[in-house]
Amino acid sequence: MSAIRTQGLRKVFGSVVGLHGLDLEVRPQTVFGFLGPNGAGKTTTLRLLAGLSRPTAGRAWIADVPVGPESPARGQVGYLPEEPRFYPWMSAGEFLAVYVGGLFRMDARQARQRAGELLERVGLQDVARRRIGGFSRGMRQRLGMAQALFNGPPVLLLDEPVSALDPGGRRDMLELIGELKEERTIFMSTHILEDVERICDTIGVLNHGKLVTVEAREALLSRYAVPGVEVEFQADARSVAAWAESARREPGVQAVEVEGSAARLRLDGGPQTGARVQASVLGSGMAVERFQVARPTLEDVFLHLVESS
Amino acid sequence: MRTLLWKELTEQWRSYRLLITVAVLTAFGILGPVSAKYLPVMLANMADVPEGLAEIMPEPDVSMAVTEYAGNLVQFGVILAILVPMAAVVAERVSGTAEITLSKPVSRGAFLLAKFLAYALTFTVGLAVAGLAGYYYTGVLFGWVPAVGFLAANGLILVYLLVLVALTLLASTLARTQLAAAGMAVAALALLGILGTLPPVGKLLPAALLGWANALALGLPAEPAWGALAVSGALGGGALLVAWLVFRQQEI
Repeated sequence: MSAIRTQGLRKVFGSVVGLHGLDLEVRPQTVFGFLGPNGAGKTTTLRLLAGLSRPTAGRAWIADVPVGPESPARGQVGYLPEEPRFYPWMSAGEFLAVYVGGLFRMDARQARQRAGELLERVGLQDVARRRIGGFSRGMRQRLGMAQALFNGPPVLLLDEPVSALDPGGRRDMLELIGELKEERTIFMSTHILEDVERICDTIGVLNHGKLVTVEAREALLSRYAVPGVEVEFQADARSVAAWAESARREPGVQAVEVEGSAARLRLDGGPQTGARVQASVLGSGMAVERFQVARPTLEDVFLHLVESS
Repeated sequence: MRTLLWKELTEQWRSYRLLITVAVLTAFGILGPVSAKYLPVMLANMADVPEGLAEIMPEPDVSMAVTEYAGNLVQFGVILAILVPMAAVVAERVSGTAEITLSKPVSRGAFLLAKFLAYALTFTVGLAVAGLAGYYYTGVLFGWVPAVGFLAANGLILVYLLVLVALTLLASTLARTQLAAAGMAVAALALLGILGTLPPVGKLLPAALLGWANALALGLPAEPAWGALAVSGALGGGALLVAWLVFRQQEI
């Protein structure tokens, strides 16, 4: 059984195609990072899965239940919009315990207890009685996470879940998402690639409404790994630049990028090239701070995929 | 549904909409018999009133008091029936509050119906308080009118206003801004007014309920406007049905 499945999901807004027949399958207990530049169709996909929008064509399922505006699949999903909005006259505690608890037809005592637990989990326990109208964007995002978790849904749809949080809040939220992955499937869109690299185990890249790739994070990073090394010297930038000039002439070295006292070399992958570079480094006469095999960042892979698609 | 209704009623209370509706209807309900009684006296005592005007003013009586009362309620009730619910759906859609509610297992029909029921309750409370106050002032100043007839008259005014509430709710579902929703509701009201000038049609439109209400309040014999009552029900129900059909297709 897939946690999320879409088949030819297409959405057209007037003359603009927001999503071109998306075919996607997300396995249970996965943290799926949905990446793409602005306007790629990430929010459109999330809104379709949350039942807030109807597809122009194609279908989608959450835990094998078809999604849609009146579908029971909504009971299997917790949705956090990018900028969650609440009734400003309600307090956070009242919103969760009375309103959200009531929408899920939960017993009042049980709903109050659940609201208390979640407010503590997202760090809002001290402002439970404050009106939401006075909340910052970050506090609204935390409350949005609490409401998404209220009924313990097996699937969480998170649209940029940490975009409004300060560094501490971001760390806490990522930790929370990390804890949740043991018991749920998390489908999150984000622009912060560092976060995706940290918590997502599967990555999907969307560009211009088309899915460019879906792959396990490690497999994706290895597939796009370019043979290379990174060297950092204990020397001034001028000496490193001079060495880089000579290293560039070594057979098998395709490119050298210098940044201060560090250099990044792209190699052809030939059997002797690595050894020649090592010898060149040792022969430079400069003390070596760091020498390591270069690993592509998710940003490198993302930019490569988006630019080439 | 119970939670959605709780939310709507609490919002009416905390945003003072319920209080404002009750206060405005009550104030103008009282003003009807009071102005009928004291306007001629005030005119007679004013210095620069054209000569003879006070003499030609009709002697105030209970019929004038009830007509003023009903006229005031309808006039200000219509304004409230447009202003109070005009933001109901459009504001939730534009601000994004509907997004969180409708991503939960909540039907869009229940979302709309809760709003209509909350507004219906607000206007019922407003007219009940205004009716009690207007009945009391009319009785004290002019003599008591039949209580059952007065109650029935208020019921007919309530039906008339609820038709407008349903039309405004439909406008709020269709429109992209609150102002556009108010404009659509006013246009619907104007259209009903124009159609009402056509004799065979006018007798069947909601406004025909008001003449019937006036006669009932005074205990006078009047031809019941059952046709207008049925059309009002159909128009209000139809507006809600169309609002639901439109809303269930909308992007939230």
